[in-house]
Amino acid sequence: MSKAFLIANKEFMVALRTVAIYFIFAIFLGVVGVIFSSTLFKVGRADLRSLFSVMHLIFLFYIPALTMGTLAREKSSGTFEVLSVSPIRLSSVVWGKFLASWALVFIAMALTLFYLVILVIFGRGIDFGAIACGYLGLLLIGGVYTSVGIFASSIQSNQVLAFVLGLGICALMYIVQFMIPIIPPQFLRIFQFISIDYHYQNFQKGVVDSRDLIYLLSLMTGFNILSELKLKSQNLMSER
Amino acid sequence: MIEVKNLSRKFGELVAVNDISFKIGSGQIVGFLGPNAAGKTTTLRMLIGYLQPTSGEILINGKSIFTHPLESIRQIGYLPESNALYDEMSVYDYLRYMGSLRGLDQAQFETRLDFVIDKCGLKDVISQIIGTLSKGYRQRTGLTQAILHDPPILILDEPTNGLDPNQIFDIRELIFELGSEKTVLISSHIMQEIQAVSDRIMIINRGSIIIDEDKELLVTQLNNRKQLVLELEAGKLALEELIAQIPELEIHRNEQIGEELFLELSAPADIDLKRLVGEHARKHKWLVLSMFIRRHSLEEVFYNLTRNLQKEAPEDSEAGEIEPEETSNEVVEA
Repeated sequence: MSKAFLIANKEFMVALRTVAIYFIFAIFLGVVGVIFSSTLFKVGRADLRSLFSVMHLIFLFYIPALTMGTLAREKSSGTFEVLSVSPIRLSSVVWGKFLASWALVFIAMALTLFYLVILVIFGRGIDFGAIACGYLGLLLIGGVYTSVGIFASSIQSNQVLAFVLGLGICALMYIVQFMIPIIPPQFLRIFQFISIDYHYQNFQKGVVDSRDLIYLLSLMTGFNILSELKLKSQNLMSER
Repeated sequence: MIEVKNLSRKFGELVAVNDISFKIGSGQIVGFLGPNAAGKTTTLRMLIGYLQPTSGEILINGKSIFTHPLESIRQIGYLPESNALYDEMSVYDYLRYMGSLRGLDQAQFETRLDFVIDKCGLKDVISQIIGTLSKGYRQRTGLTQAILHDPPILILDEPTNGLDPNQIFDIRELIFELGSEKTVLISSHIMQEIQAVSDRIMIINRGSIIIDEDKELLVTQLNNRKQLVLELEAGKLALEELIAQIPELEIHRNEQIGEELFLELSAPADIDLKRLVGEHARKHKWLVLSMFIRRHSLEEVFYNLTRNLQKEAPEDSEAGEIEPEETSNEVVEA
């Protein structure tokens, strides 16, 4: 596992050294800011609900873009071959990449705390518990999307295709919520279970339910295991 | 020590490596030679555990790499053919990262680093970003990465790829130096390179090892026939007289261009062909314009071997494309 942290550390440092990541942060913050200010000043509501839902929507694009290169680039450029001469396991590679990308998601979310500060200054009667839960839930959802993105990256050697695939899977989990009103009631439970938003509702209300935690954490682990298996099936370092 | 038993690898229908076996002891530099697409890189990738063989066994120091993957990979330093590096990192950071993945702590790393960057001549570019390096420095960075953790086994896939002649010379010196204590396996499609550094030569073609021989032995075997090349003017050749004198004589070329005649003869090495032909020339009043012995180079043999095999099996020619190297014939005596 310590090797996973080594890989994560390197990936994270390299990512922070690219200019692109700051552009992404800036755009993210900008879009979130526009939505935030419109709810705060026009509607006059002192909460971060709309902010959370828009962040969730942005994550659908932002995270696959962040993760598309993780494994795809290693495979297409051939650096995977050098990596394979090191005594590391494939799981360390996958988890290392996952942790690094997730940390970037974390940073992006931490930047939005700036808006929370504005809220504290101008707002009254703020439910800090609900906001903290909202952040926690969104962070976990970010983790799920990160592992999905890495899984897509493990399937495709082409970064653009990896992005499209990652976006596709994430979007599928996202849009299930809109199908809930129109499906027959006997399937309701299944669709609710699949819908990532359904699980997020509780967090937004300020409730941390262990079922939701387990759901999100097992999705993360599951997709990471799938990535590892995918790499194994491609015969890359398959004995490890 | 590397031991390979009945190793095969198929890519769909294509058999890239077909049932090869060999054993390499320590302190040996083995040249792994073959035309492009002969199966060199596939074999090497299997040795490091990057690619899974279809069948067969690979033992590193007596232990199977499939049951002891992490243990055996610690023994190996590898320079891939593509020499892929992380372009956005600096040379130092890259080496530090690679070192830590292989379990070197900061102190061990610093001591090794001084040694390897000195050996590979990376001092000037140590803090430069890899993406900005020239091809030669990139190659050296790759090589540094391979020897960084001081592995007893070195597997180098076309190590002098893209280097200028001076750098090639330096790298050869380095390989030679490393070879005294390590097991080194170098692949190349360039004959001179293998001839220059290795003790033992393995030639692979179309997935099979066709020659696995000590270099010195191979060179002697190659030179068991002498070839004499002549350019002359003469009224009468009387070659039948010469054949009567040397029954093993073979005539490879007998061609008249203008006034001049071109002859190429060969005979076993123990026959003094020069003297016999010389005497014959004097007797028949030849005007000899040039006469020299052509010695077979390994390259020529490599070329003939791989090409002949291809002629024999032309039905699936995609498996072994030959890049004909210019055959350089060593002129020994004029």
